[in-house]
Parts: sequence; structure tokens; C-alpha cells
Amino acid sequence: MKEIIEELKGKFKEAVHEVQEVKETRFIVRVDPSQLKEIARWLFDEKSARLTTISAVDLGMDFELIYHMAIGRSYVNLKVKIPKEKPTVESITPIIPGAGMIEREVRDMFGIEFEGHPDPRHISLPFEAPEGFNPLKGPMRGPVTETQKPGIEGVLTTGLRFPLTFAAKRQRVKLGLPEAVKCTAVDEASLNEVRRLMQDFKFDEKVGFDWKRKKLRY
Amino acid sequence: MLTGYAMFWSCWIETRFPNIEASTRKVLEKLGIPYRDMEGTSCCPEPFYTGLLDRELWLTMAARNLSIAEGMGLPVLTMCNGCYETLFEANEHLKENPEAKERVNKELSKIGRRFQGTIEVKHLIEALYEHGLDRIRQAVVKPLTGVKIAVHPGCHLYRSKKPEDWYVKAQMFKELVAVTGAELVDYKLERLCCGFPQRSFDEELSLKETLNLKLSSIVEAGADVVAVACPTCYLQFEVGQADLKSKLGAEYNLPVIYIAELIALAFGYKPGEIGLDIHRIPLTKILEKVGVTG
Repeated sequence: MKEIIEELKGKFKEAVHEVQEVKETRFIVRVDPSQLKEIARWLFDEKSARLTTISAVDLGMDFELIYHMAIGRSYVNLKVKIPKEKPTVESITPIIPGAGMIEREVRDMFGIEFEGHPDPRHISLPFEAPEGFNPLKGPMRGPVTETQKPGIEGVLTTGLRFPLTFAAKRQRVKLGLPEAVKCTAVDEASLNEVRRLMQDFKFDEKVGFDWKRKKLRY
Repeated sequence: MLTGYAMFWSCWIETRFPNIEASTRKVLEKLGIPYRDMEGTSCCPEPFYTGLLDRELWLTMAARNLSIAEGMGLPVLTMCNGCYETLFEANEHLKENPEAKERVNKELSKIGRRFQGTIEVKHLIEALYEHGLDRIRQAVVKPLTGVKIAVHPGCHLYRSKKPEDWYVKAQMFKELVAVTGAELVDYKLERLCCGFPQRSFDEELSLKETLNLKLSSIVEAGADVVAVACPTCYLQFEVGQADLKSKLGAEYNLPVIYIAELIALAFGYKPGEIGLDIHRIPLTKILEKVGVTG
């Protein structure tokens, strides 16, 4: 089994994000969703893997899909993370027909779209179930509570919990203080140091920070 | 010889409480306590949120801030209880744990910094007290006679190296208040939290079952004002009272004052010079008692 995992790593390189050896006969492999179909194809065609089932987990901000692939008496659990904002992944049904019903069930329960599925009808829900009704899909939520959001967004964008507002600057000057102390909010080099630390610790990922919008995703 | 302090102003004070910064600077200058502002600092980071979400990042960011003061060769001075907890605890933890220090320094080396463990972290309360009550007394020109003050030390001020010293800084705080000539008022719930940290999780617990009880106890004891040593407690007492009024109909109208503002007032500074006029709950009654205007 170890040899197959090494071969997989060598073949799909950056698409393999992490490999965890749970035991000699079970490996968890986190992969890039964009390469999932090709990895599944390689395991199915080249390594005679069988798809046992697909599990879906609502992680709050994302969904996690786990493709349980058996090779002989061993298992590879392929994991992909799908953002809730765009819950779409390529269907593996065209490669492994047995995945068809499972993907339809996951789609019904979580609202995850499997692109390229040949027959994406309801299977667990009634055919007349309304659009967007997915019983196991929870709301978009992360580890930061509503009242703490501005503070966490502030730390990630400026290094401080609160912005230096125009009113605060005016009050400071009125009291004879410098408009701003030379902190990370006004010193780019220092801010870059702090951002580097936060990114190294994956703090931005952990709290679900969207760098483009400079806001939390929820 | 007093070499001075590296000032860690904190997010709250820099962005929300120029009155705390102005009064602290004036008090230190009046007493001849040298200080220099730390440059390039970030959030301490605060112990509750960042500290709970990622303790290792919390420790590393705190170590980065401490390394700035180490570069200045000065002990850190904080004016905020939360910053005090973070910087004090991180400093002590890293000094006592070589493994943690090595781990943190490995991260810091990526941004060209290093924590050495060569300085101390002090709260303003300690710095003023250690400077000497007599020196402060000598600088008082406008004793706050007749002003009844309840002291709220704040939970993080109880942090200490030795567990048995937990109340030392709270006692220092009280003695500093007494030096201004004000009358200290004892109240039952002194040790109770202001309720700010609970606001993130349970507003009712924060307001109704914490701040409300605290304020009742202070007002019942006959205090004119509550003195704090932390901008977060300050905010909770001021904004929390407005919330209590709008959400629960409970009205206290109890003014809040930061320790440096109190001492600066006793040193003869005008309210406008130290930002007392930007308080949400006016200090009119106290100023009238002292006979101060403008």
C-alpha cells in the first residue's frame, strides 16, 4: 500500500496536499478538488481500487468529501475540501458508475453539485423537493463569533483589533498626541512581519479569512 | 538609575482612548519617569480570542512584540490589563520553557527577529507604585478630597509570578487612588469581572448577570465614580451602562475614570488637556466636588 501512495504522490505532486498514515492498511490523502477525478481514475484504472462509498461532512465554512477507496484489504480515504460558497466538484460517475447513486444522495442531503453527473435527479428527497432544500446542510459558520468578527478582521488586515478612525486621529491631535503611533496599522514592514506569522500558522485559513474581500467568509 | 520604559500602547488605547494615552504621558512626564514608544507593534494579541483560537500564534506574536522592547533595552510598560496578561504570561512562559522559546524563535527567525528573555513586563500600576507614593503625593496640587472612588482592579491585574502575590497590584492600585486625596469606597463585588469577555459569547450573562451586579454593588456602597486600570474594563463600564439602560431599563449613570486620568487630575491638569471631556458618562459631579472646570 505504501508503494501505491508513494507512486500517487510522485504522479500527482502538488495536487496531493497531505498524506496521513493511520495504520499500515489505511491512508488518508488530502487532495486538490481539481485533480480528484484524475486521481480517482488512476486508482480505479491502474490500481484496481473499488469505491466503497462517499461521505460528506459539513465543516461549517466548507464541506469535506471523503472517497473511501479499497485496494485489496487496504483503504485510501481521499479527502477534498469544497467551499460552501461554491459547493461544486467533478463527478466521478463517468469513471466509476457505482458512484452515481451516492453522489445523488450527497447532492440531495448537502446541496453539493457533482459536475458531469449523467443523471443528477433527486434520490433521497422527493422529486418535488424545492430547490435549496438540503436537510444536512448547516448554515455558513466559522469559529469566530459575531461580536469578535471586527476584531479578528482588524488583526488580519492591520495587525490591530480596531482601525484608526478619522475621529480617533482628530481626537489624538486635539490632545497633542501624534496622529498615529508607529504601529503595524501605519507601518507596512511591521505589518508584513505579522501577516507572515499569521499565514505561517494558517490562522487566516483557520478563521476563514478572505484576503480579496478582507473579510471573514461568514 | 531609572532607565525608563518601552511603551506598549495597545490597540484599544491607540484607536479608542486618546484620553488614556494623553493622561498617562502627562503623569509619567510630571513624575520624571522616562519612556519611549515602541514602534512596529501589533495587537498584543489579546488573550481571549487569538489566545484561544491559536495559542502558538498568540505566543509568537507576543514574543515578536517583546523582541521590539528587547531591542530598545527597556522593560515593557502596558496600560491595559489584557496586554499585561498576554505579554507578562508569554514573557514568563518563554523564559521558563526553553523548548517553547526555541520553537518560537524558529518562527521569529523567518521575519528576522529573536526573543531573548532579557526584559520584564510591567503594568502602569506597578510602575507608578514603584516610583514612589511620596513622589506622587508631592506632585498633587489639586487633592480629590471628598470624591468617593470604588476601585475595579480587573481580572488580568491579578496575574503574578507567585500565586500568593495575586492581590499585590490591586492593593497598589488602591494606594495610588488614596494618594490623590480621594476617599476609597469598599464594595462587596470587587473581585467580580466587569463582564467584557462574556460579551462575545453571551450578552445576557455579560450585562445582566455580571455588569449589572457589579454596578449595583458599587452604587450601593455610595461611590461617585469607578476607577479602572484597563481600557477594556473602561469600555464595558461606559458602553455597558448604555446597553443596560436600553436593553434592561437599568440606569446607573456611574462615571468611569482611568487611573492615569485620576492622578493627572490631582496633578492639576485641566479636563480638556487629558480628554476627560470625551467620556461618554460625564464626570461633572466629581469635577464639581474638586472645583475644577474646563
